[in-house]
Amino acid sequence: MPYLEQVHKEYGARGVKVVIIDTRNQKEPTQKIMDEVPVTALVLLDDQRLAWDVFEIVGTPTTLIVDSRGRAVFTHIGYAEYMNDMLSREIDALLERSEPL
Amino acid sequence: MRSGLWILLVVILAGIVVGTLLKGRLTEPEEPAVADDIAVLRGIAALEDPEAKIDQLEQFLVDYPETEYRADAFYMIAGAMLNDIGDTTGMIAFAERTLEEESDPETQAVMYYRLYRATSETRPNDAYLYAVKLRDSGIETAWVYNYIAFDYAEKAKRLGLAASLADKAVEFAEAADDSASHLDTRGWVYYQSRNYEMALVDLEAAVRIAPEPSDEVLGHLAQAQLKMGRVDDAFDTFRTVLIMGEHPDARENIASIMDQKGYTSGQRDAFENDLWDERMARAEDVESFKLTGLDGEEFEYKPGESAVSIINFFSPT
Repeated sequence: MPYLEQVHKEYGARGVKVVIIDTRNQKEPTQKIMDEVPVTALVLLDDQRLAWDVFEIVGTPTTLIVDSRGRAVFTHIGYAEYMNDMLSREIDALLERSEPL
Repeated sequence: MRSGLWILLVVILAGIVVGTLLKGRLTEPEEPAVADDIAVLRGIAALEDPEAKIDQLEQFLVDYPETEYRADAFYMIAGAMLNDIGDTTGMIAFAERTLEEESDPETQAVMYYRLYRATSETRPNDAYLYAVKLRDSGIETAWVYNYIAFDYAEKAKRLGLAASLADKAVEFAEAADDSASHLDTRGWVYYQSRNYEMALVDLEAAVRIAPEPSDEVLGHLAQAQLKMGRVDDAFDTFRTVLIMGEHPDARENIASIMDQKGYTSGQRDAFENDLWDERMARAEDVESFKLTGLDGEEFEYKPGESAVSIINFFSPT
């Protein structure tokens, strides 16, 4: 979770939006985690079975990186120690190559 | 994982059907309905007070002696003791007692997992003894062998034990994706043991049978190919990793091979452009959605409204 907050802080001003979705729709434990980190990025509760039905998420954490044309270019399942580096490189590449909004 | 979700869905639906059929026919409740167990367990999981959670989980095990979620309940008790209360000593005593008293293989597996996880960083000798005990236990639950074997492989420690655990994981794997994962683990154990030839055999098999080989499995294969002198194959495999996403090791190795082969800046640019085109060819449209935030406000996500969006799915428990 801290790596997502870091992305939110570093790239927010450049038009990068971070959306964190609790796939189990558990408000209290989620709020506790977000308070502890702390997380200021947008956090949503999956009260409409979005993860299962729309995105067919098969494991958590799963991270999608969506470009300016609304396409999921990268999908990462799980967490790796190099996540910060990886996300930064992917975001930089997308910002560099994407069409202006 | 997908089949697990289907099983859960079927259980819930079965519960609804049975509940509807029985409604009004029973004069007084006797045994709790079987399908109630998952609902009860979910309710307990949402409790904040760990002591209350443990008490209710213990009661759950009494109320539902035949539940298929028995191992989950034991796992959650150990988790509450370890993570919420911070009582490592108590959790170890609980897990060891459970290993003596419970014969269910899945319960045994989760207890070995908890014991290993609780001790692997701070008391590695104890973790080793638990891993040996697991190896000799005779339980046929592949994932726990795989987990510990991979952990030792990553740390490049206890590789002999890791190899025997990985053998058991491969032996007991039931599904194709599990088999691929376990072959990857054994291949990585061989790699860390500098047995690159055997590593290559397992890692090639893992990539061949995996429904969708992960960047991690492909990365392991590329490393083994490199060690065996198959530089062109390694280059191609690292490139496949990069099509899936950025990866520091793959980047470093690609750059190193390009240096060895004397790539010009034009060739490097062409490589990057081709890589980008292949990434875009794999990209899939994302649908818009509306969900409720922690503050209770509804939020609508519309793809394409931001320069880049990071959508992360996580589980709090």
